[in-house]
Amino acid sequence: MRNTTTSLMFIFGCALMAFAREEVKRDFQRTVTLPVGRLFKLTNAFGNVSVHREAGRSAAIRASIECSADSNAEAQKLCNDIQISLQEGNSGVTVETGFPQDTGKRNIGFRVHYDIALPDETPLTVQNRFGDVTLTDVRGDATVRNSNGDVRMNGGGASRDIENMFGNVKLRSQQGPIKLVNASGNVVIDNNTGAVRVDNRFGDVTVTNNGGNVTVSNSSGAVAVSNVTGEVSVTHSFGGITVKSSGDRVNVQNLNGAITLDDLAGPITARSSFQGITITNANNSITVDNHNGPITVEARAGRRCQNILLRTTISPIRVTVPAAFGYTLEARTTFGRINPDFQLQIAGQRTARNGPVHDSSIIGRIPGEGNCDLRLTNQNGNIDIIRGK
Amino acid sequence: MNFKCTDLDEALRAPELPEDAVIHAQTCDPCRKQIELWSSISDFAPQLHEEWSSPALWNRIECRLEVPPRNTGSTAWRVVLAAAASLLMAVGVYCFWPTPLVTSSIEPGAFLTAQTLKEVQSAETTYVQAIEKLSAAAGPTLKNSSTPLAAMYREKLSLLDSAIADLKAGVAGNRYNAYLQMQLATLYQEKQKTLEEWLENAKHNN
Repeated sequence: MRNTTTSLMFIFGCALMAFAREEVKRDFQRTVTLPVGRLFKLTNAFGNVSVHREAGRSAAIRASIECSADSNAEAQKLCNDIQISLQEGNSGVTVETGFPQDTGKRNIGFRVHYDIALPDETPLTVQNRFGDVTLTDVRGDATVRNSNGDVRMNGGGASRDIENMFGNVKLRSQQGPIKLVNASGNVVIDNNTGAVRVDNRFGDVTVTNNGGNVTVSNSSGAVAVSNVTGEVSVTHSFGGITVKSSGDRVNVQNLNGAITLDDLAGPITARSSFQGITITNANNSITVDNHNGPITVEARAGRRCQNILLRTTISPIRVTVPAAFGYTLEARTTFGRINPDFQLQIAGQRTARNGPVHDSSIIGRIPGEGNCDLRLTNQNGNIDIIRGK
Repeated sequence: MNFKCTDLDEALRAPELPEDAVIHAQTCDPCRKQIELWSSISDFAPQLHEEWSSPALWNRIECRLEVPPRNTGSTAWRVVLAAAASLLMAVGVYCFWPTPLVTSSIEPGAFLTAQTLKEVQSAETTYVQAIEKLSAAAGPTLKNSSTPLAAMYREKLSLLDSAIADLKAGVAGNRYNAYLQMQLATLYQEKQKTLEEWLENAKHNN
């Protein structure tokens, strides 16, 4: 029995030795006074940075340096070798984490997290790698450069200038203009009162409830914009675009992806290829240029008629115009038919039949109030014109 | 009362130490120390009980235990083994015993253990091999295609490669940082997924 115990102890001991690691934590804490307008700059890596608002004019800097090594002594040494430098100057305060240079090939691990309380009206710059950056109710201008981590901001004001790679960005209830460049991550911006400019690659972009203009450039992923009072401009390459409930001009360009627009008050310009463009509840002029993709447009009856110009190839066009308004119609297609579901005042019409295929054009008028342009151009596809309510 | 030091070995195998051995140890220092050592090991044993997730491990231990180690001569080897076991046990317990003042607030899982690092490195090797195969398969179509979609995939893969290189440099000096290893795994996954997507796309277009 005791031999068994010994052997077990030996094996467990070996196992414990093999897995044994020492973890050590060292805290850093400093408080500095920051007059209004003085910059606070932090440079860090391998950890998270959290910044929140603090009343008064003092900035409190707390950092936790955490280290893992084979022995307690080595972990302690590593934590002591990671140095935080704090410099106060006329322009403000600079905090930087210094890491030992000789860490390669050692059996170690370390990380440095910051928690910073920042007074109002303090311009902030955060440069971080391999960790998240979180700003809560920060009321000064903020510049964030981060990679391999998420960026989150909740509350606060002033301008935001953010560059991030390989992480998601979530900005909520911001009050200033936002300029964001992101790669390989999703972007969510909600409830912002200023203008938003997003340049993203390889990820989804969602902007909701925005009080200013919204400009989005994306290359792969989905783009969704809704409830915007300002202008919306979206340039995209591969993925769907949805814009809903916008109060001003909407300009959407897609290389290869569907476009869905709904409940828009301002003039609309949309361009895509290989996928459908669908516009419903449009209240203003509409210009659509598609290629190899269908177009479906439903104009809402507003105070007056609006110009509608639609063009595509190898796909159908289906347009619904409000019943009350008059249009000058110019519709052309090759290898397709033009099908109005109501009586037109036709000025000129040509239909060439070549076997089962029609080449058609109609120039005429849709009777009603006003005189707007309805220009429909297609190749290899039908055109359906429907009288709405 | 003929108990001798040479009988101690046999006595220690019994579930309970025989009374004559106890009496003998009262007057024999070497035997007393050995009995104390065995007792301390027995006392420590329950504290080190651990459930093993590896089902094969216990079988291997059991096989070893079934090999008869008895009657190999002197008790000296057992003393050495016991001492070594005690030392290892103490070191092991010390290593794993949290030191409240310095480690209590470190988030569990922030750093890898030696075992998890080994597993992570093994998984990384598997990923790299899978990606190499996919790259070889995707390479010609991706390189030769002049479509905007191919350009987008090339750009994405180039971005991923540069991020993987950057992260690997970070991991080289900070290999027990769990976050870095997780990020690296995510990038490998993303690269694998991107290559698979491209191959799927190329298959549909051909």
